[in-house]
Amino acid sequence: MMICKRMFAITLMLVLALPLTGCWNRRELNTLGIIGMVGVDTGNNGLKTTFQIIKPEKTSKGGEKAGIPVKYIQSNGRSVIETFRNATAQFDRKLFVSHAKEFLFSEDVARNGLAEQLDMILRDHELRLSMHLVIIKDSSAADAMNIASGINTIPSSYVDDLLKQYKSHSKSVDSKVIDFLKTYHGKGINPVVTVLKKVKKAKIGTGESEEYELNPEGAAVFLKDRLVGFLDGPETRGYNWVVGKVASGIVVSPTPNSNGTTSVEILTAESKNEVEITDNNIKIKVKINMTGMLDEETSKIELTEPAVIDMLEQVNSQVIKQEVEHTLLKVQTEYKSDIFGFGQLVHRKYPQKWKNMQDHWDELFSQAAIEVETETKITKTGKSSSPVKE
Amino acid sequence: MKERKCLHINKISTVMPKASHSTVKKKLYTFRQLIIESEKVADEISQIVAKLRPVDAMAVFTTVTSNKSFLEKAFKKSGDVTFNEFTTFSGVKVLIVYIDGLVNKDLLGRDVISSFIMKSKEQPANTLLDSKFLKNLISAASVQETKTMSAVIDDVLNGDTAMFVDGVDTALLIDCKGWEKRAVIEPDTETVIRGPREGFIENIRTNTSLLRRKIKNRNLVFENMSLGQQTKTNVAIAYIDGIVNQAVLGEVRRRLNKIDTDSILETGYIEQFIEDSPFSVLATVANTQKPDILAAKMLEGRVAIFCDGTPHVLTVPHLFIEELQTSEDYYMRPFIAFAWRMLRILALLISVLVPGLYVALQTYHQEMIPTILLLRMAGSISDIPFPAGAEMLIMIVFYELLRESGIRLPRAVGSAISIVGALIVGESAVNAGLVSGSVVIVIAITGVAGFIVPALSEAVIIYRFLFLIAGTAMGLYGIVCGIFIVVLHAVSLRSCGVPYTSPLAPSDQGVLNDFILRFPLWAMKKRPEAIEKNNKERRG
Repeated sequence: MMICKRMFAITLMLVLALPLTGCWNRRELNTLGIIGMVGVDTGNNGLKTTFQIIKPEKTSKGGEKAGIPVKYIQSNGRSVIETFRNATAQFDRKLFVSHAKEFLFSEDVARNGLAEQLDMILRDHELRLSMHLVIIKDSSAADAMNIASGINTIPSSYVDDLLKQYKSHSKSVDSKVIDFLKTYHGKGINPVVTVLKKVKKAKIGTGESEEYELNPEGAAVFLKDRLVGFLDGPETRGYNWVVGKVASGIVVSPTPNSNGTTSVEILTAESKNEVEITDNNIKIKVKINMTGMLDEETSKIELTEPAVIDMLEQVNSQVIKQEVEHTLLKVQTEYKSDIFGFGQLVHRKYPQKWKNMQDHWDELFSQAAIEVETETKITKTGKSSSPVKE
Repeated sequence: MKERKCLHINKISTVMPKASHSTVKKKLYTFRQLIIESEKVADEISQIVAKLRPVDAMAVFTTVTSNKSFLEKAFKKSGDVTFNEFTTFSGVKVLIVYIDGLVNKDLLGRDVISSFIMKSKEQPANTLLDSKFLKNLISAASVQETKTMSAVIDDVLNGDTAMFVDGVDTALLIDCKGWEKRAVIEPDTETVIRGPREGFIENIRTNTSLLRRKIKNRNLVFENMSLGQQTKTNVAIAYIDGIVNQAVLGEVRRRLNKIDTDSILETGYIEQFIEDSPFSVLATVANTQKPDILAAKMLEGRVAIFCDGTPHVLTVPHLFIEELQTSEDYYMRPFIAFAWRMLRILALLISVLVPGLYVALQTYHQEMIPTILLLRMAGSISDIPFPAGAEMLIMIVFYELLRESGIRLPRAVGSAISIVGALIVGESAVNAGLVSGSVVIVIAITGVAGFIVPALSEAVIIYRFLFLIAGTAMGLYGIVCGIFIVVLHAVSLRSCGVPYTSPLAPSDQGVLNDFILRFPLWAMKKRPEAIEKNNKERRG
């Protein structure tokens, strides 16, 4: 009797626990169409979404796989989720978006604002917030989706790997959907989004090669959720200097008293930003510290002399300063959008004043005086101590 | 109060007016007498019944011929019971009874018959009537006297030789046992790289001697008993007095005495009679074939049960952690032992959970699989006709078929089976698109991992099915439910009163120094606390 009761209680508990788990969804793997990439363009009916579905290849011994192993479907609709549902009518497999790696938007969609488009990503349980958010410059998103000019033959993986390369040159940004949502909702900061541009590939030799490749240089500047303009590669690095996201890269500066150049590899870079408000004058101080390794020296100088190294450091920090000032000036005058998050500093330091400023902060930012201070330390000169040039 | 009592008695007297105090007293006395008499009669009846039993209480006859005819009748003229009659020089008839094959005939001829005839030659004939003196004529190591036939029969069945001398109502039981037995070799199932190779054999005496050689201590005690109405199997409880947990020992004695069965052919029979939870998948009695392992377990306070006719010796209490321990953990240095323990725990988890997890991930949680792996899996199962759960189930059953046939078949054919299995499953089935390559890999990993914890293999197979079904029906939620049920069950188990998951679940210092980590021997100062209650220190 006792055991009966206990067994009943245990069964009841397990059965009652079943509805607690939320979605119960059994899907055989071979009924799914695994989406690798989604691209949104403006269409005749509002939006036109292109899906790239990866065709799982049966692993076979030998025999080179021909072409790109993906399929495309395209559908129209008034909202993004409607295009998702419309697309299911065109494909024999259930669309499965959890493994989508990139969400592409064409320039014109981005200029009209992304907030409406991104709502479903936040809402739907299958889509991931860690997808790359990409703006396709100068062409439609669909056009950029069939390019895989690297080793990886699946375009979505190719783009994924390509975007991760930003750490070695720092001339682009790698923005995720969640980064956009954070910066869009955050007061005193505006989003910066990855840009990809379809470019003609240099033809080398006569061998067969892809015509186009994707170039990730630069970044898209947003004001709230609207695209207002682009930064090019060096300008993007200027942005990265300020926000402290420079991971690596080469800074090239002219060698003093000669016509050669000095190239320094960035090892570590830090930034420290400060805001000061006196009366109604906003003063922003950007301080950048960089340590690097001398990677190339094309003129004959005595690198073993500490004074020479000091001189190189000076010139180098001047180059960085120019780079940063150029970016700041462009963003302040052309885009009038605080993508650096200076507003957040104000919020932190002057919470009372911020209340009056927050609604027109971007206007205030564009008029703020920004002072840039850079410092470079060259800690190593590589394997050789003297330049090759005699 | 007194008045009330009186009133009560008065009432009785009113009910029974004729009954007086003296008559009641007399009636009670006669009643008591009757009870005493009936008890006496009952005693007499039981004695008569005992005497009526054919063999048990019969005394040894004085004449050789009547002894012989009685024993012939008792053994039902069985072909292997040998009766050997000879006469001494002085003309006294002597009968020797033994079972052919159970005695060492060289010893019997030299130390018993020859010695008896030669020594009795110098003695006067009438001295042969004194049983005390007869003993001196035999040069075997162990000679015992008995006057009951039942003892004679039991001992002859155990391999002793019985000697009857004409005119003496005492039988001499001479120990010159000798029968075919296997050599002490390394057991197949518990092979080691480092450590002793010897293993128990089918002979209980050899086995106890192997243990005695490991523990040269007068506190090592063997309690002999015989179990099985028909087989009369020799069973011995072994323990180290002073270390053993007395509560466990008493429990083992009680459970063994309660066994009422025809036959004990293997310790497995005993195990099934004495185990705590017969309906549990997890065993609560351990067995081993190696004396060093047995000695180590007994030194932690466990009780061993030997059984004649099998190399497997039982030990209780049995804890879960014993499944993960091997003797080499203690012979090798602690770092390696730690790595191996980790490996074994991993293997246990793999062999139980992986098929279920694979199916759960593949059919419910595709988003948890890395993209490239998902694409590989999707590619390999793209044209498989079965749902993932069914595919896995078919393969597990097929694997078990192969494994079982590999064990049962003669060794020469066994290797052929493995080739056939590997070819059919690994190559043809995948190429024909009946199963996916990844399922074959999962089954292979599961199978290999299952062999790493051999003591648990039966439980592992059953739990593997359980988790596969749970994973197929309910995904990861089912797997988690399954883990809950299995852990709850394991924690609720007891082995002779000791919690099954002991150093972990009612945790003590053992979970630190002999669970995943194996402390250096000099740091393991205490015996397992759950088993050992009194003598906790490992030294002295």
